[in-house]
Amino acid sequence: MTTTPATLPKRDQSARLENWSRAFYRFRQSWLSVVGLAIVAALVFIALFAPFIVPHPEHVAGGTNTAARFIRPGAEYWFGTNALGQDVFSLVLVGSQVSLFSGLAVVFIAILVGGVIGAIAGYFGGWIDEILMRITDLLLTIPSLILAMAVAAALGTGVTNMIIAIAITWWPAYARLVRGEVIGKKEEQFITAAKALGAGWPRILGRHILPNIMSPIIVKASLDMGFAVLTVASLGFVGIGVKAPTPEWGTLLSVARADMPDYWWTAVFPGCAIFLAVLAFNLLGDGLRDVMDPKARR
Amino acid sequence: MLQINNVSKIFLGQRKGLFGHTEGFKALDDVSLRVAKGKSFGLVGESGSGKTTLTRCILRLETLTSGNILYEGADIGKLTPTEMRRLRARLQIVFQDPYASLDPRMTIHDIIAEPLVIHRDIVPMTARQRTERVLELLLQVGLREEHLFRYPHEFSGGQRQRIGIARALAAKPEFLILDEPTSALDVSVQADVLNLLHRLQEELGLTYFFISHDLGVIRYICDEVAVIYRGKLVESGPVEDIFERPTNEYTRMLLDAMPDPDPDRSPFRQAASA
Repeated sequence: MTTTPATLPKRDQSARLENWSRAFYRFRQSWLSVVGLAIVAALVFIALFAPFIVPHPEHVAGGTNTAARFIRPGAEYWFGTNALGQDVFSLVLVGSQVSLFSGLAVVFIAILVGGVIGAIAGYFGGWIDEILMRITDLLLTIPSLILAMAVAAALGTGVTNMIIAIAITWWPAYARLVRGEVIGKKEEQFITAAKALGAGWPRILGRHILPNIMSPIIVKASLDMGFAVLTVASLGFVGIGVKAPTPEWGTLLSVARADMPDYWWTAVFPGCAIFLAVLAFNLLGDGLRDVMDPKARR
Repeated sequence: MLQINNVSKIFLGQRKGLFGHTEGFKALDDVSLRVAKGKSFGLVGESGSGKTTLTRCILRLETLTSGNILYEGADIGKLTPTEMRRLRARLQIVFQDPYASLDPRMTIHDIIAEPLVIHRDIVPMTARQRTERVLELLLQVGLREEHLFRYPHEFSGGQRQRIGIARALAAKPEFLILDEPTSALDVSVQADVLNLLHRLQEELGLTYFFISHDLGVIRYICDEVAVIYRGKLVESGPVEDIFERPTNEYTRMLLDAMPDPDPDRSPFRQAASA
């Protein structure tokens, strides 16, 4: 019975493939989540290639054309032009870069910091848990936008500082989520089995617990992406965040405020872009939640 | 080989005030027994009698309240973390519930190879050697090579228990704790798994510490048996002696409650004909 075959069997992918196709089938069941996925894919494409496809790249770099101020949306300028004669369509398209990148960075940092703190608090418990979670609770008591404004004001404006400021207010939510999930999983028998095998805590946390709690984290992240885009725009709107001439949706909206309501297009199109991005990420998040619901898993 | 001396374990009750606790629960009360090398030692008891607590103590997943556990003369409670890790390669466990004890996100290959990865300082192997060892183990426990990269949810209870046994055997241990390995399986599968365990013991010269509430299973596989009741050891000795001449009242009650395979002697049948 201890014969070793000369050739190893080929890695059987069928099971994994079947799970994926099953997941995709569940996802397609709701056309709204497919719409969300499509818009998100389009936004990512635009963000990546915007500088090469916009009709007026010179306006993005800060160039003005005062002869062509406030032209209505039409064939030449799809979204019209603003007070400086810049093409709003080009600005909105390129503005997606800052919004999406900042949103992604905020969520990424929040997961990283919150995940590590939550996992350690949940796994070790006791006084480590108490200390870490009281710090987390403390941050949760402060309204996030106000804290972000205070941090951004202290650090100075700029994309990086804005991302840090928002991330500081966001990680506690992930710390709580991850802590709860880790506490739920660490009493499972396969964790006891790993301990009995002699696995150390880094291996148990990284190899056994984390892969089993990814679903709720991914769902929360995709739902949060929308709110992150919104928060970035809000900070841009109140003037903390991206400096001109870099276009950003919140800043565009803020500048256009003075031209309302006569030149409505300068504000409506950046607003629509924010609306569309937030909606798309929420639809995608809802779809992912349906797919990853543990009870729906085979 | 394994010697358990006067072991007691008290679980503290609820916290009361700053320092106080409500009255605790005595899960193990002055338990002493010894397991001989190459033999099968059975531990019988009803639910909540402390069987699983004793295994958790042997694996040092719980700390003892008093007493000590010696493995080949070394006190398990006093080992350094490194020594304990080394010991875990030699002392393995198969769990009761084959559904909960396998990580659902890992392939069978990764599950069985895990002890080899953890104890790579003791059993140095390349990734390819590991895969070959996993394959050898799969065949040894009666699974096939196409199962290698599947996930636990694709297997039946009996197959999963075989995977659990393969994992326990991976690092070539000498001592196996079997915590009710067949109680979650249906009767025909139980027999398969018991035969497998019996064959493996002969082939590999393993020592078994077999926990069960099923006396038939104990009688089939064990050389010695101890009966535990509410955390206290009430009787122990060779299987034949205990089954033929029980001296303790509780043991006698357990034996009387054993279902007789002869259907004509069933108490239900007799009641119907009377």
